[in-house]
Amino acid sequence: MLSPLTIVLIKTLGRGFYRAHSGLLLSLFVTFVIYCLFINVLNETHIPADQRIYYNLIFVLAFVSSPLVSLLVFALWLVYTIKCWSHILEALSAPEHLFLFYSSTSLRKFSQLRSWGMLQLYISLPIVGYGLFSVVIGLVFHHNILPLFILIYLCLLTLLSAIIYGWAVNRRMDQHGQSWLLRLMRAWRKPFFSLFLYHIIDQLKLSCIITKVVSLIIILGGRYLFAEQHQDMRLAGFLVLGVSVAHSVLIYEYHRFEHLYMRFARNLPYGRLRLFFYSIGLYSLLLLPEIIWLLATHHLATAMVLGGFMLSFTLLFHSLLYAMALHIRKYLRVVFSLFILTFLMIMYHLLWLLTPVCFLAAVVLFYRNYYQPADTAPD
Amino acid sequence: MLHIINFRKSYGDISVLAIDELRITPGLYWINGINGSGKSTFLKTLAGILSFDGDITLDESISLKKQSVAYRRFINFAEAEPLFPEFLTGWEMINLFTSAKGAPAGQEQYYIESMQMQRYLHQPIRTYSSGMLKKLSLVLAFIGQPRVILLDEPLITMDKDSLEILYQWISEKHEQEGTCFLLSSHQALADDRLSNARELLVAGQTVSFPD
Repeated sequence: MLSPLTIVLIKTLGRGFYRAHSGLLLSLFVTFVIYCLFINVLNETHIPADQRIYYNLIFVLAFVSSPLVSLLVFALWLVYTIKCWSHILEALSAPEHLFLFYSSTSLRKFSQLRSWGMLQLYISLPIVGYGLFSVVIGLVFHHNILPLFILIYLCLLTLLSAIIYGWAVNRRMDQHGQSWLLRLMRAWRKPFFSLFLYHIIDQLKLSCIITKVVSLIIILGGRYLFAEQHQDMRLAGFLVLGVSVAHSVLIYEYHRFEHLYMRFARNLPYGRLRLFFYSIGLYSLLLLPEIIWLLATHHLATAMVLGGFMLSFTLLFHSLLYAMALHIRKYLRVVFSLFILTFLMIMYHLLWLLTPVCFLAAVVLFYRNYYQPADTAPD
Repeated sequence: MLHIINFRKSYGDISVLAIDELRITPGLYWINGINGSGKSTFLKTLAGILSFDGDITLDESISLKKQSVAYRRFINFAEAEPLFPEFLTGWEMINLFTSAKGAPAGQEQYYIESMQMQRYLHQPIRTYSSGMLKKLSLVLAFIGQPRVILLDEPLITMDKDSLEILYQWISEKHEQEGTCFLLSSHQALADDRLSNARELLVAGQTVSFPD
């Protein structure tokens, strides 16, 4: 039976974690299920049925038999766990979770630790599930040593997380801390359109780093895997599309920032076209590393076409969120649908059409919906 | 001054406010109503923050929907519980509003000094107490040349001395520049300087002057 604290932690912080990261987790889940479990290996006529299962499970088997692959997966789990720490510690500083500082801390330390551990297990369900699946497969295929390490590693990660959360909630809060980067930039002018970039530096460093790493993997992976097709404009189009989709989480975070901290901006005498140009400035800066990559690896004209597509597609996501407020599930469905539709259009050489269409759609959606905020209860 | 026509505001399917026609002439107004009656929604809509059906015009010539930029230049607003980007300093917020609202140079000094805010305005907003944040939001509402200032629950989280100064600001701005004030509050406005404030009642999903 779960303790009252565990129930509260799961309902507040645990579900909040999944709400905030459902996009990332959904894409990982789809990738895992489609590629690792249901994909047909080569041609069914070439490989016997029993070997097909073996190939489907080859990554899991490598994980439980090869120490090198195990280390790689353990490193990925550690990244996931650090992301959990970052999210929970940030969420703890939100006003709605302040009660935990003067309620949960009255419990015995062991009870606190147990509840925080349960929370960590809850938000680690994707890796715990995969870990247990790997242990079962390992035992079935007679690999006994590494599955044992998998269990120990999962327990250690959970314990360490529980200790960190317990420490954070028991310490005296220092609300006045500011990152050294922001302290360095204190004297800089902060134009209105750039405020979200400072918010990233202040509170979204990890999300930004993960987005940029994913973006880099897409670019390098695409160039490496399809080295022979590097002249094909469609390949560059796919990569740019992937980069835009990778930024969808940051775009969502922009809207959360605007909804929470920039409510006053709607009372400023700025026209919607001016605000839209501000958005272009913001996303141009956010996508600057990718734009530099395009300029460095393509002819100027091609780089401009691809950069224009990347920017207009990103702006389309941005404007779409004004139409659907902060409904993450609706947003993700639209992101996935647009991704597939755009992917097909690029495949059929329609990249030239996408840029103006996305840009126009972004302008119209922004203009129509900017003053349609998320519905909230009357006060 | 403010003319509200065929106004409808709803959250999804739930209708919150419906006003067929309401004229608000220059003056001081106390927006009264119970919790959840729609006081803040009314003020946020007047401020051009929330969407609505119908129209609101300022001086019969500036429509919120048709001349939204001009309208916002003349209507200032302070939230009941303000939230600003925490990494910015108070000065950076003031500079933003000064440039956006087209305020005369140095206008903010009077407000900052009278509220004694100089010592912390260079610090990031995350270091502010709720009272300090409230004062900052009130200073921002007085910046520029607003024709109408909307103050949502201006009396909460303020200490007694600061309230005195706020009453003084309101009465000065109203008398010297003819600025119209709409203040929402659960308590009646006790100060003598605001004794001539007319009541605007938000009840029964509408806004009206009580008989």
